[in-house]
Amino acid sequence: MPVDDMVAVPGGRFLQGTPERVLDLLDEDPQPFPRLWFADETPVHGVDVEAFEIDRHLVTVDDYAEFVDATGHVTDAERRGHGLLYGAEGWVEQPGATWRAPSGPAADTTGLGRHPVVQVSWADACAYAAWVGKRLPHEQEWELAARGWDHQLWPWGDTWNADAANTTEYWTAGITAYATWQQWWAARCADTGPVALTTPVGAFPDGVSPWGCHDMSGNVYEWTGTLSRPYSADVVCDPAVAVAMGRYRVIRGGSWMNLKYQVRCTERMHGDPEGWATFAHGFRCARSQRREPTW
Amino acid sequence: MVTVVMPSVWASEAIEVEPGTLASVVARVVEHDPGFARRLLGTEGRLADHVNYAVDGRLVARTNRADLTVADGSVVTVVPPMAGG
Repeated sequence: MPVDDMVAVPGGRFLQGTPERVLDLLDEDPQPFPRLWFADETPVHGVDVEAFEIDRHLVTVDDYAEFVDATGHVTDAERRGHGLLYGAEGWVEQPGATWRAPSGPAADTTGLGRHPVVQVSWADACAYAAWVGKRLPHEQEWELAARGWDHQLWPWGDTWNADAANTTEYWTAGITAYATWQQWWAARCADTGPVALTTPVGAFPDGVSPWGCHDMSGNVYEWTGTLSRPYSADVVCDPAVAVAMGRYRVIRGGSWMNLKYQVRCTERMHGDPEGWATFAHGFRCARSQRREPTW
Repeated sequence: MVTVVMPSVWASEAIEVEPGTLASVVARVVEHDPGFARRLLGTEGRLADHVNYAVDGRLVARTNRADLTVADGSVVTVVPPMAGG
């Protein structure tokens, strides 16, 4: 069995979501997304969370290999025959891209054992979690584990630090705009092909969360167990997000593909759970905290 | 006409095209703006497997969806495998 290294988070009530003042900041910043894009993170609302434990680290390739060796699990990407890569012109279906070869069979996979496993669908993540006696974290658990009781933009605080997380800024010093990143990425794809830029888990100790969790901003997008729902019936979302509500599962944390805006602790994305996997999506596990008998 | 709505970061305004099968509707969108080909089409010009579509708010099953008839007046929403962000 993989090492069981979890942090305990006490239960309690906290305010989930992004305050309007943060959306104002995003509006003022030269980031490319309209305010509507972030509307699904609002309004701030109180939620009660039971005590839980959550993995300190993302599930690694070595961890997943133990699971597959023990169970014979075949992932959705293996069944379909392809996984998704982000190429020079967007997402492409890459034959042979699986958790064993995240960027396709031609890419070098040497030394990826301690990297987060990717090319796993929501069901693949759930299957692993069940095998280790855990589950995927609920979205509110994930957010609380990432930021603590008080709102802060990133797990380490409100001041951006490009050396605290595996994000676009880490790989491309000076690039702060999505369009510029796309140009950089296209040039990189022309040179090496689209190869995932994951990093070993725990490689950014300055980015640890208040509870001691690593890689909660960036590295890989993280599946949660939560069915996507708006925080309020009054929220007007992006049209694609509106359709995803009630159908997709919440994804948190952003990835190596994202700028700082998209790796905030309260950032939400929504992923199709129907067998879709990419070279930038992974997960960590959680479990409800064991209650000690009171007698 | 059929109204095709994209994620707001792909296109800020909806696109109006002639009704027909879902595949033909998507083909007309690509004809209108070839830049959408990379987002919507997979190998050999077929609908990309990983992109979802909703017609009048109902998500369309991937099976045989290319031949689904989209009626005049319908709204087609394009839903990528990862929405929002």
